Amino acid sequence: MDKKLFCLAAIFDKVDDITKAAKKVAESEYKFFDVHTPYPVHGLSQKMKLKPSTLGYIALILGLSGAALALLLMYYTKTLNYPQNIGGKPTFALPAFIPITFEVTVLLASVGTVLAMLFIYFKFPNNSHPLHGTEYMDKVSLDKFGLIIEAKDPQFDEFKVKEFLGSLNPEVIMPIYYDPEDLNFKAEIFHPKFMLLLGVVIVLTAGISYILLNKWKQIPPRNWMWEQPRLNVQSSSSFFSDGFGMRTPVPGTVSRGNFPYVYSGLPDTMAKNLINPVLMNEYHLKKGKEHYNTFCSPCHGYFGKGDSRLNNQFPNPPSLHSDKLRNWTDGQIYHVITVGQNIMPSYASQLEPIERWQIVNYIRALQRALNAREEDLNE
Amino acid sequence: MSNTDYTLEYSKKPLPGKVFTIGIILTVIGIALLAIAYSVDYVRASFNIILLFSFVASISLCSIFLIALEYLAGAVWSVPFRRITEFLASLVLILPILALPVLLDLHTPFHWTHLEAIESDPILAGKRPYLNETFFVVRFIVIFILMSLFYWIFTSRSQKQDLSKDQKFTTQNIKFSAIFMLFFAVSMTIIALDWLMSLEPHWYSTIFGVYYFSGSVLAALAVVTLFSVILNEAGYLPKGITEDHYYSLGALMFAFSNFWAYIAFSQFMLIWYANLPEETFWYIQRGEGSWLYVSIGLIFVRFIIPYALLVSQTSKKNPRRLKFVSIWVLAAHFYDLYWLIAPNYSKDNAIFGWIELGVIILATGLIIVVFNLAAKNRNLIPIGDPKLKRAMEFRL
Amino acid sequence: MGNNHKYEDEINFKAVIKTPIRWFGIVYIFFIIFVIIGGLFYIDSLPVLTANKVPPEGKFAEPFKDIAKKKGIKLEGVDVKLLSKPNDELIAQGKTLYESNCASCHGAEGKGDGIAGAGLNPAPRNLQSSDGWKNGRKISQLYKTLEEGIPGTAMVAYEYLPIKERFAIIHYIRTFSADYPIDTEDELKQLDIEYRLSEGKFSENQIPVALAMIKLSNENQELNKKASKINTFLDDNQAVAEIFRKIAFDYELTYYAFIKNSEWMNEFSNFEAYLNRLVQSNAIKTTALNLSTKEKEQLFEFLKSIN
Repeated sequence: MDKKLFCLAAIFDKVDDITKAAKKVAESEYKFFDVHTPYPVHGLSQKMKLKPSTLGYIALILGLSGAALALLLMYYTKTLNYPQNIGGKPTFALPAFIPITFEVTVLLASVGTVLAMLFIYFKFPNNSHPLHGTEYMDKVSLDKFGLIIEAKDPQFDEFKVKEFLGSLNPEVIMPIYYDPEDLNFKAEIFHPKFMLLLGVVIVLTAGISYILLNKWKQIPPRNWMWEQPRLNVQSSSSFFSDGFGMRTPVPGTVSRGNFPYVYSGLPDTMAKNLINPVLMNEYHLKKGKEHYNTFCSPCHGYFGKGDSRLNNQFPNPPSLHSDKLRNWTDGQIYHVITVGQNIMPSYASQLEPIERWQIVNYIRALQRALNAREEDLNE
Repeated sequence: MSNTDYTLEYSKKPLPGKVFTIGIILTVIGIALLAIAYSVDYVRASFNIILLFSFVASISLCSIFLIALEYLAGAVWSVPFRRITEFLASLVLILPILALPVLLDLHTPFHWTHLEAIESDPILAGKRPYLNETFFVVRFIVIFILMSLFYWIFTSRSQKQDLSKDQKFTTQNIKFSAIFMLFFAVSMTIIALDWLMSLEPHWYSTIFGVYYFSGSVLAALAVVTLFSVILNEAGYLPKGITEDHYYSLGALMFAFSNFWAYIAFSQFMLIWYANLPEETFWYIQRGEGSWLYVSIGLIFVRFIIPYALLVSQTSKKNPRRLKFVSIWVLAAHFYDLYWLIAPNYSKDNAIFGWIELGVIILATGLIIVVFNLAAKNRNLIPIGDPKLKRAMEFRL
Repeated sequence: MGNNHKYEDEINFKAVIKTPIRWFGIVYIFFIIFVIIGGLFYIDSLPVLTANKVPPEGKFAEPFKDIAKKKGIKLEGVDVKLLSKPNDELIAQGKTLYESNCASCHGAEGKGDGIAGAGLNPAPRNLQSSDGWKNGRKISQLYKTLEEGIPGTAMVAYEYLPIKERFAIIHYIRTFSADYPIDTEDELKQLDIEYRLSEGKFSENQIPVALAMIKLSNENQELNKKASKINTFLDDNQAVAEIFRKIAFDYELTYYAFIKNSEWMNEFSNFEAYLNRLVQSNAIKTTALNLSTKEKEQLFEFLKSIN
């Protein structure tokens, strides 16, 4: 079978020989040549008259992007998105950011350079090269220095090249051929064995993840953190005399910036002068609806008719659509939510003032819905 | 392996007498300036003696360090420059002379010698067992004896090897180098703590010894590089020293200027972050008045400019560039030491006058004179070293 | 010098199986890809995956179904005289209504011993006994209770029940005891007149709540728009912006609380009183009470100028 020639190779023993040889080849008419050495020989690239490598610029650009990315990330998270006061330092604390910036710079530059080398210069995922696995490659990976002139060179003539290489006084001159199998090789991405392997991998990883995430965590001692002696919400506790697991704040507790509620008794007190600061817009009505459905609707019903899901298990609550309630001020409704009325308890510990005002707004919407104006129907 | 039969084409040329004369003149001018300074501004002069001492000490001690490093690491490329390093290391012998004015009057520069201040100061009283005059002097003498001893061990064996070309001297020196490293680490830290950090006895930084060491190695390297390049260009060294050797010198300088930046930044960041008043005041002092500009300038002079000058491969091979960077790095080391010492006698603003200039002149003169004296009757290259052949053939 | 080395396939399966390192190398890439894709999917669908899987049961599961649009209709008036006479049909209807609306507190037999009423103060009325009735036990009096409720107690008004159903409940209650007093004609007439029972009423128009929400927010659009401009106003006045920063929970709501009402505008003392009302309403922070008079004046002038 005819073998296709890839190149002619010459092997040298000393670093000075290869440097001289490289210089001579570079000065000759051959353009497609390469030199292989077991370790980086400084100055060889100049002798070969190679263009300066672009890899340095890639590393520079990636390094700078790494620095910029790290700084931007820290600037965004620490200054814009979630500024925190840490030990009185400025939110953009440059000295503290330097180590991280440095690490990310080095990381991106090194990883990026390796990837660029793989993809741009070695044309990954192509991992086959005619020189791979040859005796030549074995030698130049150990202690010899090699030089090749490729057959695709327009000036290539096997005899002339041999003569030329001989003039460089190498140890050996050898031809290197393409592997015929390599030339005819077609990658089969849908090879049944490969697909089977993929399937096995998927099943294995899925199974392992499932076991790790669901079962492994529940095996002692992994579950110790889950099964702490703690109280879940709404559960009872024998520790406190009233048997409740959830504790209410100490009487008189006021949250920062909030004024303690001063009125008590019936809603006809000064409470009617309270001012509702919540805008009557869709956002706040939607919020009010959420809170109303959570906290009020179990008794008052979704529409405030008093016909609730808890009907017959609690005393019936009043309708929210009586003339009396429709004529109440916002402050009076707020007052009832805040301090309670008859058997209705106070919701002050469960709802923020703003949330209570949002519920007031939603009750207004309910009243409007069940007591609509004529023009509301014309749509 | 070594080749004992290898003989280098090297004939000893005496150094030109002109240089020695210049060195003598500079030394005399320097001594005169400092002597006048003592009569004009006693306090400032005593601090400047410390500046001179720490500058010369860093070059001499770190030259011994470089010699030991070469033996320990088995470095080949640096063998032709080892004799130059040894000559510079002989500066260690004049250290007591430089230290004498300070040792005679510790009271002026060192606050911790003020007994009346210690009485009302529990911090200084706590440091008294270490920071007292007797122990200070004892420490200095012990360090001087130890370092001189090692200097003598290394150089005498190196000299003998010139004649006998026996490899056993190298083997012995490697063993001594290992022992030396232990003592050197402690000595360098003690010199840094005693002579520089204790100028402000309330302040402390656990990284300070390394800080002084990193700058000192850089300075020693710079002098070695400068002398090597000059001597090689003038033909005093045998043929065969190529740009590969230069590149190695430059790369080491580059590495150590990065190391200095790393250490200096570590010291700053930790103090800045912890924000403890007993540590920060030292930096605050150096951020007041015109000291702020000196401090910011340090970053550029000591790190950014040498970095930019040395970063490319060609610049490390260029002898002109190397000479320039060496002088720059030496100046930067002086700048660094000035930044460490001078705020103690000029708190509000940075001052630089003829006294500080006198220190530079005297230090330059001393280095030239001592180098010339040491190089007299000695080869400029360790011709008997078994590694020399490989060193001359060294390629990157 | 022969070159008979075989180049490897993309994957040499035999070699792969023999060398675990290579096996791991190949598997690992897919493992990473799987973890990344799976992880992204997992995070993306976290709300779905972690949602409560147990479906709600019973009447508590009643979902929110919005009201249909319905025009109010004329309700026929009732004949009070006719309704005041109990009959089997009315009593049967009353029994069902009683059980769903009243029995929880008043008990199945009207003894006031319902489970839900156990903790009430005052306790639910014992409908079998004749003592302590606040409004009385006649039909007209019972009707008044159902119409208005009894203020200060858990007895609420049931005015939303149709008139006929209320009469049915009353008649059922009156079967608990034989000694319920009978109304005179005048009292019934009075009842009719007072609550206009025979006239008939219009029932109310109904629209979906969602529509009502839109209507309400549309009606308030102008104020809402104005309130949303507060940030641009504050940009021009840094001093007031600083005051706002001190006192406001939310700039928009704070400004809205000022513009929805103009009674504070005419005088500074009114403004101060209004500020106090806002603090009590928790519309602004309590720090507003610590503002100096100068700051208050600044705020006053600013709010007046942009109103």
